Amino acid sequence: MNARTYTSRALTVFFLTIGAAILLLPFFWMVSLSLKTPEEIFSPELTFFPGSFYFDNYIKAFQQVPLHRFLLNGVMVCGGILFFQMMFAVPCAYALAQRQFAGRTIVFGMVLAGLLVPYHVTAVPIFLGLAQLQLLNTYAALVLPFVASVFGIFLFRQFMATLPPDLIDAARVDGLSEMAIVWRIAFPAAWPAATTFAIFSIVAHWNDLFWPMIVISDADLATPPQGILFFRDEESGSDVGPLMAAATVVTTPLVLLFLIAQRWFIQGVTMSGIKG
Amino acid sequence: MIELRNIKRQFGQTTVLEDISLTVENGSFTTLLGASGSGKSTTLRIIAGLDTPTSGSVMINGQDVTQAPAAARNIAMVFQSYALYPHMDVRGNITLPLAMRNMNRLERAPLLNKLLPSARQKAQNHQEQVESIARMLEIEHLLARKPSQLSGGQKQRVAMGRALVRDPVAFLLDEPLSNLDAKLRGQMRGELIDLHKRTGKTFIYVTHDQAEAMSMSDQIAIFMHGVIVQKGTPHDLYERPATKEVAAFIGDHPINFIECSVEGNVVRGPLGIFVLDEAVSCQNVVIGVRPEVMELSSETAVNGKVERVEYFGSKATASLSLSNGQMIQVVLEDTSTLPETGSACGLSFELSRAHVFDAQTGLRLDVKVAACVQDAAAE
Ligand SMILES: Nc1ncnc2c1ncn2[C@@H]1O[C@H](COP(=O)(O)OP(=O)(O)OP(=O)(O)O)[C@@H](O)[C@H]1O
Ligand SMILES: [Mg+2]
Repeated sequence: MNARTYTSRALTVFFLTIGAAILLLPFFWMVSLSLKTPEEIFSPELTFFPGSFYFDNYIKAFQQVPLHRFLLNGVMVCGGILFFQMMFAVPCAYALAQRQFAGRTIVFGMVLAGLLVPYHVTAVPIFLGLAQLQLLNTYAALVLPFVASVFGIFLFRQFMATLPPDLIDAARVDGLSEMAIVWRIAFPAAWPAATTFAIFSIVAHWNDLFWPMIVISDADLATPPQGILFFRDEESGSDVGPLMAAATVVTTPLVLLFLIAQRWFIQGVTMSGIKG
Repeated sequence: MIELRNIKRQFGQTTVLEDISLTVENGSFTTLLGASGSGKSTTLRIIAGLDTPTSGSVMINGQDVTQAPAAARNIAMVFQSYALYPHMDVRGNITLPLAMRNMNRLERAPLLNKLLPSARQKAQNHQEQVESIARMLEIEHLLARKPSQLSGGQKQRVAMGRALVRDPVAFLLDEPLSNLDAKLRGQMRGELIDLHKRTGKTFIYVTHDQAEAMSMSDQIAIFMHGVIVQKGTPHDLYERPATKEVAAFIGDHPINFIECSVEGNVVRGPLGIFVLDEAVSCQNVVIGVRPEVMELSSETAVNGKVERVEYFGSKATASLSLSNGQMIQVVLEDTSTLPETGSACGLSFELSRAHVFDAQTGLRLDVKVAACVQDAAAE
């Protein structure tokens, strides 16, 4: 490596490091606070690292509110949403990408149009509908509005459109029904799209506060971010340590998920053979 | 027996197939031969059930299956692009059609199948079948590979394996050898013939290579612009081509066409004056003479000039120009003495093996060249 490329690399790494540091600072601060004693937190001088690892915040977090319950709710809701989204989006995308039928372009146009509408727009009618059905304060209220994902349909369709038609025909000749083709051929071949979509979906719904605040008032059904709010309400903001501990606990699963999925994602891409 | 009855296929305004009728006997090797875009693949897809004809019907063993989906027809197909499932290894690729045919929904379910004894039994049975097919095609060592890790020839074998593993009514092969290099193609051609003999199954083979078609088939159907212009044994097509186009398509060496005028049964052209065994009614005829039935002769009058000689070892070809500028090809069986480039020489041909076509319509005329009354130089 000559000096010139070396300096340009060094500069790139330098700026990327600064960028990463700025992005990571709030997270770092959160973890740091969660490990500090109350005295440390409210001491006038600013210390980055906690003096000692003070795990009482975590114990308090789980004791003061049913944090495990919120986490479980989060898993149920996100898992349910993702499951149904895949159930509907994958066959729909397959039909749009690989089947000829009247009105196909119109349907796909509507999917694209659906991408432009933020879900807050439909929040009120959906809320009223759920109220009519007496579904407020249930898991169904958290899951149902999201089971049809236009983003998912769009993403899978784009991926499945690249599958060679011969591949689908080969499967038909081999005796696969259209549904079997969807799940045995098209879905595995679109695995990278599935990973990407899963990450987007889980992150969005795990972190969502808007919709749970509208349809859930029962503390037993609260999602993780909603649960964090209970700290502020009940302890009137004085208990920063446990609050940060709870926030850390709520964020960790996402970080872990992302790291694991990233490996799958790379595997999915290098699997190639899609054009092979 | 597979029968196509008056199949017509239109895509919007364009007619791709126009009245295709074809009978394929059980156990025969039938080739659909034709230039690119002549509708061979479309016909094959209609037989497989991947496409439905605009009109006409498809019969398999006496049953009308025109509207039946591919999955219900039990036909195996090898695609030109091989179309292996990219996410499955070779073993998975070959096993899938077996599992789809022989197992019920429950036995195929991803986790349940580990528990069901019937599924375990069948799965083991399938593995044995897959392994015996793999042994036959010599791809045993590849069973654990993904398609992206295979060469073209290996992919071709896997695609064959996937088709062979079940017990289908017929094998449809869409130009399966066109992606291979010349040597491998020759080898695979031989293997396909053996395979057909060994399995005794019906093969329907699509190709645009006439040599492939001639060497492998019991029956050839020649496609041109969406119609079958002729069907018959390779021998029929070679000896009695129905049209000028067929005559031009079949044969290792391009046939020579000699335009002649005709009066009654007397034909005049650049090679001389000939007599036909019967009078014909048209004004002009084209006489088709294959290079392999022509020879350079010292007995006839000089009527050509040698322009080029190509030597292949076992044979040679000479290109001659006639007095009217037309080029004629001759295959020389005797390669011990080759003619000099630029030298003049006479031409003769086996009269009985010349084909006579109507110059206007290109159709074969059912007459023979009976005698040569005068050769060209005397004109
Ligand atoms: N889905 C389609 N829509 C419109 N035209 C089509 C369609 N499929 C095939 N064709 C047309 O039908 C004609 C015949 O196609 P086909 O694939 O049967 O030819 P082929 O004989 O198999 O040629 P090749 O040797 O190149 O494979 C072509 O002109 C093609 O453009
Ligand atoms: Mg084709």
